[in-house]
Amino acid sequence: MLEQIIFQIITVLIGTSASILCALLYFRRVRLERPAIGVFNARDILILAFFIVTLPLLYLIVPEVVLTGFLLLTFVSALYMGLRPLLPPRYLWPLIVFLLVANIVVTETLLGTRAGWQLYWVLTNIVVLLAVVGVSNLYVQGGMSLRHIAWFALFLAFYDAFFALVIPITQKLADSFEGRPLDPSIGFSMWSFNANIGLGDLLVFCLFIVAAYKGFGKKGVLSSFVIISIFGILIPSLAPLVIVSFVRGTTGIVVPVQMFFGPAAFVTYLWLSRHTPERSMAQWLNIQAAGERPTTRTSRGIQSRAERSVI
Amino acid sequence: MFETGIRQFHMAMSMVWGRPINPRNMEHLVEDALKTLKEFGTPGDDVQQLLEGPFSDSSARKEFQNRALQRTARRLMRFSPYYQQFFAPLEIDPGKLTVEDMPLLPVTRKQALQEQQQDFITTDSHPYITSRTTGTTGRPAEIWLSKYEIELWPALSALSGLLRNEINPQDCLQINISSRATAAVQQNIALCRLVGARTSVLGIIPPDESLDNLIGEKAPTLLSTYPSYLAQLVKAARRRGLGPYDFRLRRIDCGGEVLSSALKHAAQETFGTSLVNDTFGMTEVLPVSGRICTQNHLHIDLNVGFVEVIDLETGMPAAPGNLGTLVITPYYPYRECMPVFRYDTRDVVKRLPDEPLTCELAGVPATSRILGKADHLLRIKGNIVTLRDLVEIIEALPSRPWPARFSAQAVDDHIELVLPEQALNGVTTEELERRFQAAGIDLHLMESVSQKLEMDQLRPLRADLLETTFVARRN
Repeated sequence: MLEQIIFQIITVLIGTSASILCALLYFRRVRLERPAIGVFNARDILILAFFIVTLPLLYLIVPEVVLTGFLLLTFVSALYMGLRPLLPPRYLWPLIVFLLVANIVVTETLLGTRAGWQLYWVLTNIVVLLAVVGVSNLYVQGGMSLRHIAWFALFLAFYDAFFALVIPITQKLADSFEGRPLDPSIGFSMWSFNANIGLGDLLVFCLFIVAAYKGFGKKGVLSSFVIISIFGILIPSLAPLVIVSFVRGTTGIVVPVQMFFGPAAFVTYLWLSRHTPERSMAQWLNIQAAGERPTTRTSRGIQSRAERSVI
Repeated sequence: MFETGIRQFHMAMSMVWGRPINPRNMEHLVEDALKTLKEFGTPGDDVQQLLEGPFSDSSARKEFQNRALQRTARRLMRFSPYYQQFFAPLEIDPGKLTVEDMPLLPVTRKQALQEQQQDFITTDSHPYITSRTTGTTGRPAEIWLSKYEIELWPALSALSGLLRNEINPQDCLQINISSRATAAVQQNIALCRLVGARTSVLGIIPPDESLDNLIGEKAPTLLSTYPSYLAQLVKAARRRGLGPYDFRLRRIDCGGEVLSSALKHAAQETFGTSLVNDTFGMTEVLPVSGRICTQNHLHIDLNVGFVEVIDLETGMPAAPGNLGTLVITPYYPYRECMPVFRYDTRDVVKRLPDEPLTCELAGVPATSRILGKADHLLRIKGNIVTLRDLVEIIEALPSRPWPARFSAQAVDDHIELVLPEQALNGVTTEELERRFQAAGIDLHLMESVSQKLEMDQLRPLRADLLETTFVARRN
């Protein structure tokens, strides 16, 4: 049990750190296209929450092939959005096809071996990492503020707790994805251990740290990093030592991470916004334009607004 | 974000299917645009497409225009008593009307609007407010507008104004236009309300009083007026020693009359803004309007109406480089209560050569600026002299006779011009004639006038629609 927990902590630490650092780097360097009019608002969060509540239920009842279809569509969209500013279309589409097809082929053919599982996780991790970085940036660059994300995380805390402790859907959902193509999580398998962290949790971490950076600068990043390490990685990984309902069999552990992270995220937002108002994207772009390196724009090759304002 | 997308989809569907556009939906889109600008500072990437439509592609433009004309004609045949009679003898199927058919149809003239006003009001609409033309070019026409129109138009203007940075919540708009131009005044007030900008409606009051309002820390940043009134403001400001540092104006929009280059430069210098715009708008064809680009082309918004330039003589499409009058058909569902079809504005423009445009508004077809009214053209030696030709020369005289007051008529092979006495200060008759000859116009100065009675015989200006105030009467 202890070894499994240590393995869990290491795996989740690496996966989470890679995700949030890539998301931050992407936010600093890449500007995504946005529609002429539109900002993320509280109603968007409600719509997002609606899908979060209903989709897992749908995942549990649809046949496997339909579930894979949903995941394929989700990842194609996420990878396309995230990679489009970085790669020209002639490289972009072959890369997306390769990543997704390789994942499905490896899942269907090599999962019987340890090396097969490890290759599966490597491929899955790349896809999920790219997706979470792209989607979190799409939301934050689309105007989602830390206030929205804090409330969202608080909602997810109750949601996670309810569906883990009262109606155990989270465990069933984890089971339905395990060993299937495009498992929406980052993880690894070694010796007899297998550990992972879900795409939803990673998305909330990335959203939080990127929005905190945009809204409050370095102070926001540092405080986010601290709460993600403690309430997103450490405490959820250690929780099975105390809360036995998270443990299934000898080594199966499914922890509702947002149950711990959500309240911490909300309190952190209140603390951050206590003295300084949250910065808008416009304010952040002005600051970046005033003293930082230019950003990468979409493949159309248009200069970023930040760049233009410097010129 | 999702809601905005749904609203835009809703609006696009109304435009595509020709159904009434929900003004509330448009107002919500204005709110969305305000929030977007607050968060990002600028609109997003596809803003040009949203504002100008798919008109850079000529086949897409034609397809859009055909459908818009068909639905407009269909509605007129059903609900407009005037156009039921208009279309009856033509034996055309409005559902098959195309851009190519338009030159074959008769135009609608202002006289018909004046004489058969009630027949223009569609039977499925409820007239709500009336707006009069100023009547500077003849008997005024009275245009009825529905509640739908007076709610929709400001919302459309507010959305495009915000996205083009023509107005923002920090702005204050001073309106110096005649209070009889109800539609324009009401639209400006509603636009400012939607955007959250301040409005100062003054009307055509004594220029010094308007000028007082333009000075100070919270002074207006935008000014909407007529060129003749702008001229009076410029003169008053210069007389009082006021200059660019005394004003906060960032844009001046003029319309309804010819704005000369000399007056435009003077306004730019005096008020300290490079944005002195010569806009096009007309109560009869609202919400169709036009903007002038940096190359002095008039670009009329094709999203809301069909624009033709017809030859002054033949009434057929004017050839490139030739003069013609603007004929405008506002589309349904933008115009509801008193719509017009092929309305001949009598505003003369020159068709531009058939070459690709290189200006910042190149995506929208263009003509020259408005050169004057067709009924006021002067013909000498086979050449046409427009009001703009005369105003440009007169307002560039050393005496700065702004606004240009004169009367002119073509006699034999020259123009006989009557000018106020002061206009000739600093210039001899010979010099004046030389200036006109340089523009290809043979001139004979008939007389210069100074008496008020004689002055009243000169061309009327909108600035003459003066609304007195108690302050002015006391002084």
